[in-house]
Amino acid sequence: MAHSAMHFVIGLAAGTAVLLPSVVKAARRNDRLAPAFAKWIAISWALGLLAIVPSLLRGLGVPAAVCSGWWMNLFLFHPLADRLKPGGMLVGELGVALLLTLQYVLLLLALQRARASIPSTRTNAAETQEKP
Amino acid sequence: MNHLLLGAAIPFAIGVLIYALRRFRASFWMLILIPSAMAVSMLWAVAPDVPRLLGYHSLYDRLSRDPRCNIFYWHYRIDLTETESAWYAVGFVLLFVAVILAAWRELYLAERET
Repeated sequence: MAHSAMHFVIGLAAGTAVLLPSVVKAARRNDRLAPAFAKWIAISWALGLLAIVPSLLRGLGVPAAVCSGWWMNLFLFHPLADRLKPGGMLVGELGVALLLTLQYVLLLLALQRARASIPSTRTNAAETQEKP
Repeated sequence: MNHLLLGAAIPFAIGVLIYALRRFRASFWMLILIPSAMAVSMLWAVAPDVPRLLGYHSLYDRLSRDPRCNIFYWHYRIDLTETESAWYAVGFVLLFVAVILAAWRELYLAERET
């Protein structure tokens, strides 16, 4: 059985692989980044939580036969991951830490860029108003 | 995971207090310092497990039987009674959801001002 951190990182990685390109595209177009970040973070974390649903059910006392049934592959291939990579607590935790750091560092870079553009926008607005 | 959760929760609680005192606005440096403190504190909490990650199994075994490891946020004591639960992961995730939400909110407000 794979550790829940291992399952969680599978969900986070899937969300990042699908939605990180849209954040990069928005940055290149100089669009507002908050909506793109919101979508990326919310969906990748939701996928991470979806991936650990069978582990949570097991913790709630649902029988193991139900939690490891083939239909649980709906939760990001939970039983398949259990068979392919038993354990993996440390690898899972490191993977989660790496992906969270990636999300956070990119968020801070976007924040720095947004805050840096506030004075210049105000200056431009003031210049426009001064012109007759 | 409960070592990590405990390690992250202590600086997080201090961060929440500062955030509330600053009327729920976070400076750029606060958004760097609080998660950094959480990361350092988490590393401190799992320090006795690091030798296992690096392949030093005999050192790991020695540390796991040493009560002095309680200086790493009661690591030895927790290991004696530890039970595996996915809810630790959920608690851990919620801490980081809160940190990321605070940073995202600052990004949202900054972009709204431009």
